[in-house]
Amino acid sequence: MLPKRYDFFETTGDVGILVYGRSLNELFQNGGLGLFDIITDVKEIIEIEKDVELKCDSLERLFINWLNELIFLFDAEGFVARKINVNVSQKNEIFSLDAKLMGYYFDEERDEKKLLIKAATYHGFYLKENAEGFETKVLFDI
Amino acid sequence: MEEKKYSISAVRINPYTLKIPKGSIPHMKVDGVIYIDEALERYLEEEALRQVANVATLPGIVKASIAMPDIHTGYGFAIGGVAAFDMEEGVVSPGGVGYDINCGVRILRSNLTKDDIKKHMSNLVENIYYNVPSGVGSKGKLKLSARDEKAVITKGAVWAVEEGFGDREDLAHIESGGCLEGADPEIISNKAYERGRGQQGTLGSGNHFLEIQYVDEIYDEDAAYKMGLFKDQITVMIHTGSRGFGHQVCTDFIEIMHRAIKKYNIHLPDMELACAPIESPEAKDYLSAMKAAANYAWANRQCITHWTREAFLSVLGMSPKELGLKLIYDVAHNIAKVEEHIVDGKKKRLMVHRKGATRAFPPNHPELPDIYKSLGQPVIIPGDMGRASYILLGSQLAMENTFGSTCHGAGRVLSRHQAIKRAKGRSIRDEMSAKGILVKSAGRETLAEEMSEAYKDISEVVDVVHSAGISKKVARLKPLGVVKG
Repeated sequence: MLPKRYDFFETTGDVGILVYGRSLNELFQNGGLGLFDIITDVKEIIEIEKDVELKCDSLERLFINWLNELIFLFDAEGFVARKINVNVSQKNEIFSLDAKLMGYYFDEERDEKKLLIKAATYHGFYLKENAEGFETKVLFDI
Repeated sequence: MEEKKYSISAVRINPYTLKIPKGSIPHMKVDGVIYIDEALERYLEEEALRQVANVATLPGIVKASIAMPDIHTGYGFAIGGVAAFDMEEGVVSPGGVGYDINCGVRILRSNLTKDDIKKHMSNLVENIYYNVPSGVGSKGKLKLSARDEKAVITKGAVWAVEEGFGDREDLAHIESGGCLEGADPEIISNKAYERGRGQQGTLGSGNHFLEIQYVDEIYDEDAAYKMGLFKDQITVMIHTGSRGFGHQVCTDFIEIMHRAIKKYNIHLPDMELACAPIESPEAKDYLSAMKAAANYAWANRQCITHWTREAFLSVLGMSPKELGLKLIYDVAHNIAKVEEHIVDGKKKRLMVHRKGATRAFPPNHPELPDIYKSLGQPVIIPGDMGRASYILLGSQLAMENTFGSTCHGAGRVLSRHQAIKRAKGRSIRDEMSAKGILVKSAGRETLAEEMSEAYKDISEVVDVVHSAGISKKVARLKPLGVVKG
């Protein structure tokens, strides 16, 4: 059985995710999948591929920027990712992310409308290493 | 009632005010002041209290870090927060405005009574639902070209009126005339433009709504008369903001401010308070982008107003004159503005942040349009979809005590999941219908998440600001038809 990828949590006004990963790559992948799970019931459809590249001088900010990039892709283009492959690397002080997203465009008539996410926030945010790998907690503005 | 205990010091100084004295947490530059009575204090979260104290540590904050009775935990700033900063020593914080820049409310009056539209309600709600796009992933009817979008963000509601959405007369009934000058299109990221392109003229989701209401109670006959309000009259309330455009502007600038705090050596108790000195290039760029998003929001509410008028005209088969669906006022409740206030007896220009708080200027304030000079500024306070909303007026006490600000809404008490759990086995739609309220929503769980019990009772919130004198009740409105995302 695969280990758990993410759990949802709530505050009075908003929704967040606790993300787990045996590696950093898996942590970023699972964070992305969890995010789309808040927006809609993700379907088994792969019609579109997208590449994302990001750089940042902090791993924590890279994670928030990554989620905000996915929020942008949904909000601007209606893109939903079914499958995500991420490669995170570090050179000197700079963290780089290369991702391949596979999925489809949201269809208003066909697809489930769950929650609209405005942004990933830094409120109560952490990203840490633990015995199983990595864990992070992010609250979204809904 | 037993006094509530918190891990940081908070003292009740009068029936409507709780004070967090300077020193309650390290580096506080001013006191924290929360307008709340003992009854509403039962909902006050420890974390929200701490956020009010955290804001009091920011550089250049003046007088007090203030919060309204609809306070709840936010990001960095508490929702319901007001903070004003010295123009030389102070900062601007995107978190003090929020992701939904110029989220706000407008209210329209009509010549109709409740009885006039009783048999048309279902048609009206359906027509509005189909003409005003709403919900997750919804596409707007307007496809803006790059040039149009630049016009939207520099001209705001003025752009909408020029394009035929509403009348010139509407503009005098909008805070700041529906346009903040100084929005530089060059500052805006491509991402913000892309998110905004298809979302102009859309309601959004979550707590945003469009309601057909009626005037259920009048508290101030004279003011109501002057505002064109009468008992049992139909009104329309629209609550939405700057959509993806504003969310992206805030996201972009929180990242920029994270770099700025290192550059300017600012120490913060919470990363979401990221900010920059008012005179810095980062702050200037943010303010310019914020104005662009504020303008996007005013244009948005103006377009939606136009389609609402069209829906009423087509369903009721009336002339615009017979219908008389006119804007009373439109207020922003997530914004930062430069305003003049008296501090220690001296007139001072300040950067006032309102995060889930409404401007509430008194009679004769120079920023008020002529029509409201003698009355004071109309304040619009939406409640949950099942209970009520209010129209208030700004006051001199607000000017003296809260930088001319008051509350903005009810505030949630149940999380979405708790609400869904409580709604299990019930039909919220039927319950609403039994109360005479028709609802139409796009999202699967929206009605359960947004049910009345998920929110504080708006009347309790409004009674605090009224009794504390920071605004004055004019009328209570009750919902008849609700469109939600």
